[in-house]
Amino acid sequence: MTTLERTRQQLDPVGTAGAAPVAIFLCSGALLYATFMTLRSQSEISHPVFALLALALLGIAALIIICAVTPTRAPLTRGTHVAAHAIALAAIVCEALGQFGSNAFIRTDWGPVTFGVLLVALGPYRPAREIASCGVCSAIVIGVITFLQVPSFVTPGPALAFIALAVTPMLALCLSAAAFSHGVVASIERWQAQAEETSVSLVRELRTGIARSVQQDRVTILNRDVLPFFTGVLARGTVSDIDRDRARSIAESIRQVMVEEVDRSWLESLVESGGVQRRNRPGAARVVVSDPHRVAPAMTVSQRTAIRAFLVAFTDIPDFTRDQLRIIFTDFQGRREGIITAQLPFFDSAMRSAFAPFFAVLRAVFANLEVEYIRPELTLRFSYDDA
Amino acid sequence: MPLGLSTQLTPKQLAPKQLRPNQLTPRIPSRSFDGALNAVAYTCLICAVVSTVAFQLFRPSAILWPAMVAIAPMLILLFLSARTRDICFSIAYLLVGASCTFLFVLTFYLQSPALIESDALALPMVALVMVGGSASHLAQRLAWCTAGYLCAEISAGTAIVLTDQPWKFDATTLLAYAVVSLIFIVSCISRRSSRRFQPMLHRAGRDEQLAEMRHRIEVKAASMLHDTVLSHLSAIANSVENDLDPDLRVQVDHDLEILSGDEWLTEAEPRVDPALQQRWEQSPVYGAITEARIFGLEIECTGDFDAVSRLGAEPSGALGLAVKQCLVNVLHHSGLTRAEVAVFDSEADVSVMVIDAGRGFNVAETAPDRLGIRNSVRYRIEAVGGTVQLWSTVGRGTSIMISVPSRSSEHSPGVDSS
Repeated sequence: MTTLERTRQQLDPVGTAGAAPVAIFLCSGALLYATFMTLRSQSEISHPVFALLALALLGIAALIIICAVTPTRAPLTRGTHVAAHAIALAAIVCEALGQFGSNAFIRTDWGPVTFGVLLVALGPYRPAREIASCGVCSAIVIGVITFLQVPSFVTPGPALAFIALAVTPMLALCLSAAAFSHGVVASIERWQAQAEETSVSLVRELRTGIARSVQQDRVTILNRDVLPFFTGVLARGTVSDIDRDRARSIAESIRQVMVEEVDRSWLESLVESGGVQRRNRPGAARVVVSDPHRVAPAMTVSQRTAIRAFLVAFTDIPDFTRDQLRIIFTDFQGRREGIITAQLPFFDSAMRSAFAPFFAVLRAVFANLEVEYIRPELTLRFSYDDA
Repeated sequence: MPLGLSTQLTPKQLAPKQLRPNQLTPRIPSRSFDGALNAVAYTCLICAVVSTVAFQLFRPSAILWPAMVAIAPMLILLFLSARTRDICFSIAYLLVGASCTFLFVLTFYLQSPALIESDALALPMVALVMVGGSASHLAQRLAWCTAGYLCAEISAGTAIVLTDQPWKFDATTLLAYAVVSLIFIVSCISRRSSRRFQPMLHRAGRDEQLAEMRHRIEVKAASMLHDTVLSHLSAIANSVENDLDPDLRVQVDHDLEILSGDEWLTEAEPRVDPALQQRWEQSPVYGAITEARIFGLEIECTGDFDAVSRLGAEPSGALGLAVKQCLVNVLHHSGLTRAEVAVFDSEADVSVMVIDAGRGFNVAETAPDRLGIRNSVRYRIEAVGGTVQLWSTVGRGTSIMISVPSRSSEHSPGVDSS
């Protein structure tokens, strides 16, 4: 299992799926703004090749972010952030080279603003500290680049003021992204703690009822066989061969039931009963689940929850039956692998729209999730280590 | 119907009665948006001060101190607005900020024209747009941004007009306003589609907790049945005398009392009085050893038995029942009436080893339907975060090592810790 980072995407994958359009909007907007400003201030460009290269690099950085924020590619890793960050910084260097010796005004430079906007797009996806530290490092680089351009500015002024003005848009937006990331993560953690507390107290309340239902199940078989037998033996005070055979037979039947019960994994229980609400589909687990090495119990609670939510979502599909679902778990050299296949009556776009948030959740808890949909078969492959 | 599949619980009972649907979704609080906006405002204001100071140093004859002074009230009110989230401070920030922006722009415009070209003029204006205002809805957020933008433009425009300079459109502030507004709008629209999934995920989490709890209760029930009914049925099946053994009679009688009573599963594991817990003699492990001795097993005890008395109630109870099952196994299967119980204490856990030099068995060939070690020992100990190791060789005896977390690193019993 991946170690969860303190990012909104990792803590609230479903909610962050809604942040992708914002990131796409910001990246597209940054690219359009850079193109517009390049065309508008052509007179300041002394080396067009670098100016074009700068636009191309910004486009690549924006494209990396747009691709990485897609829920099906979650999570957005530190490597992706660093790559996009470095390429955007390279774009600023190229922009400065393109205007070197002829840059008249800071306000026509698109580099720091677009860089900052890209960082805002990354706010929901990366930790605050990482965004802030990378941003501050890049701000120093932008400051040095600006200092080297001071002689060409038409406005007479101190280098410090120019550096401050050049760095401000990028630094302000970078700190804004970091503040957003920090604030959202803190609020999600608070919410999760409260939800967990409420959920635990609810579960505690229900404990007595569940215990009673488990007891009821046992009492049924005990009342039928054991209690009459024990009562009879106690009343007689003697043990005959018939009693011995009967004791052996009752013990065997009880043992079989108990072995079956304690060995049933959470996944088999879920498939058989549809979760705790127990719609009771006896025999479904044998049809649907293949787990010869008993590896399903090795999942963490988060992984179980993600799988449970995903499987329960199938029950909302009209006419979906157990024959359309297969779950196979294997243990390959200590590495647990799971394959879930389902026959779905959806077109590709409808399937992705319906299940994208679940994929995002699954990606957050499984290190490597592969999703394939060749209509009508949806296949999920994932692996995990011991809980 | 197989055991465990029927239930007395109705879906209504299991509905999230304490959680209303609107509480299930973690909204992004206005505080997070405000924090992001305020970070921009702070940076702009600080940069305004730095660039003004730099211009002042660059041109000592210019009178720029009023511009520096003008930023101070904005910084103070921004801090108070962010800190208290009081709408009054946000309004004050806008009104005082507009006056300060007026003074800032006026100061620059009264100097030589060269300073007018500086982008520093837009900094307090952008800071006004980023007012935040603790708004929780899109319309309110847009209203605050628009109010900030209008305050900025009106104050700056007035200052420019008063200095008889030609009014210049400030694209930077408009761009900032447009970007912030669009982020709010796109964010609001795209969030709606994802919000319906949150309750499903939350319910799955709660169902997982309930399923986990049910399984633990089922394991506990199976352990209890194994230790009582199955054990005594087996004793009857293997008895050779025609008269019922008096000890067995007592135990069967006890079984009937337990099984016909109410709430036997909701009873807690055997607990030790906290006041007496420090005493080894009160621990469930001691009880198990004493009971086994009554049944004729000679037990040699070695090691630090005080460590057992330092365990929490739940691991201590589980350990006691598991040790009891191990000793019962020695009596039934080893062919001997001697066993050794050794206790080892470490920082992380307490281990109890039950050793016999009896018949032993081949672990790999144990019938899969045997429950004793697996259920009454292994599952029970794993349920409190412990581990069980088993070594056995045919003809040379059996050793079982049971380890449970000591109090300092005690396993969290989760929801089933009653």
